[in-house]
Amino acid sequence: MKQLAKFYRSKGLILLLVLAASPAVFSAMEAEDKNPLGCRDLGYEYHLKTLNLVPPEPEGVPSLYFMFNQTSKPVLLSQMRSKNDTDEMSINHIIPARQWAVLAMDHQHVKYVCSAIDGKTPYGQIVDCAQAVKVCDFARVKYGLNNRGNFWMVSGNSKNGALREVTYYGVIAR
Amino acid sequence: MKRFLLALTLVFPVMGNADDASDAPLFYGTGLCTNPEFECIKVQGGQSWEKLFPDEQQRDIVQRVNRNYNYLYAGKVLAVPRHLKDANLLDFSPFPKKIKGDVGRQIIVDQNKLAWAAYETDGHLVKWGPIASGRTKCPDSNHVCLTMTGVFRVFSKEDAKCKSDVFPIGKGGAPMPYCMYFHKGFALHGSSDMPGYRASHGCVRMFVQDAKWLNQEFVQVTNEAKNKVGTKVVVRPVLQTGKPS
Repeated sequence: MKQLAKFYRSKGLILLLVLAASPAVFSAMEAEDKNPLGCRDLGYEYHLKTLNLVPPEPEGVPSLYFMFNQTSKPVLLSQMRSKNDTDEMSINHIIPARQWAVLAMDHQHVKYVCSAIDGKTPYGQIVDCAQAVKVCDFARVKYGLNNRGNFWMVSGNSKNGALREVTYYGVIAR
Repeated sequence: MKRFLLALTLVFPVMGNADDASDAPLFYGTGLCTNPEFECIKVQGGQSWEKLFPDEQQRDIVQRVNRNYNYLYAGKVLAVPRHLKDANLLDFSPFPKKIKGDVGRQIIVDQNKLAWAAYETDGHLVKWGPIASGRTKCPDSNHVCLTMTGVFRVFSKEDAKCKSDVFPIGKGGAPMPYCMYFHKGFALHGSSDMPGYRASHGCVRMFVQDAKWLNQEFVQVTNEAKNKVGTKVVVRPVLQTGKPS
C-alpha cells in the first residue's frame, strides 16, 4: 500500500513538473516560430500551394529571407521555372524539420513548390507552402561585395543559430 | 548528323544512366569508353601527351575530353575521339551551344560534367573547358570542401601571380594563377593539377590557359563606383558522387 502511495506521489510529482514546465516549453516553441527581430512579414506571397518570393527591395539590392519549416518532416523547396527564366540553375533546398534556413537573393521573383520528404519518393508529397513554411524578409541588410549572390546561406539551424551563422557570414542585419 | 548525335550524347549523357551513374560518369574520360564515337587506349610506359598526340590542337581536345592534363602514367586509360583529325572543340562541349540570351555574359560551372562554359550576352557558347572543383571532404582538415553553389558575380581578379592566403594550411602561398573571386574565398583559377575529378579545397581549378583567357578576355569585375556588375558565375551543385572525393 505504501509502495502504491509512493508510486502515485512520484507520478503526481512528474505530472506537476510537466505542468509547471509546459508553459516554458510552449513559449520556447512559440519563440522559435516567431520571426527574428527585424525580419518583416513582407516580400512573399502564397499562391495556391506555392510560395512566391517577391523582394520588396529595388532591383539589384540583395535580400535575405529567413524560412522556418513548421512541419515535423524535412520540406523540399523546388524552384518553378518559367519560360522567361534565364538562369541556368534552380536554387532548390531541403529545410530540416522545425528549423530555419536562410536564402540570400538578388532575383526579382522566385517561385517555389513545397513537398514533404517522406523517404518513399525522391521528391516527397506536395504540401501547401503556406502551412509548411513560414517566411520573413530581412530588409535592412548590408552585404559586402564578396558575399552577394543567390544562394542558401544557412541550410538549417535554430533561430539563434541561423542568426549567428548569418552574422558569421559577414552579412550585417541593421 | 554525326556531329549532332555526338553533341546530344555529350549534353544529355546521364539520362540513360540514372541508376548506375555514381561511379561511371559518361560525360568524360573512361565514362566515354562505351560511346561508339570514342575509342579508349591504355597509356604505355614512356608515353607522354606530346608523344601520343603531337598535334597541339588534337592533344588539347583529348585532354579536355578526359578533363585531365596531368603527367601520364603507364596503365592510364584515355578516351580518344575516333574522328580526331576533323574534330572541333565545340563538338565535344558538354553544354548546349546556345542558351537563352540577354542576361549578360555568364560562366557556368557544372560539377557533374566537370566542366565550365562561357556564354556571350546573346546566349552563344564561346568556350568551354575542364574543371576540378571542391572535394566532398578535405584530407588535410577533415572539413567539407564542397564548392559553394549558387549564382554569383566576379568581384575581384588577379594576374598570374595570384596565390592562396590559406592553403597549404598554416602557410598559404599555393599558386592560383589568374584567380577570379566570385564568392568570399571561392575563386576560379588556373592549376597545373587537373586530375579528372573533384580535388580542390573549394575553388574551381581549370586549365591555366583557360583561366588566363577568362581573366583577360571575358570576365568583368564588379565596380560599384563605376556602376559595373561583375560577370555572372553559376555554380551547379554536385548531383552524384562521381569519382573519388
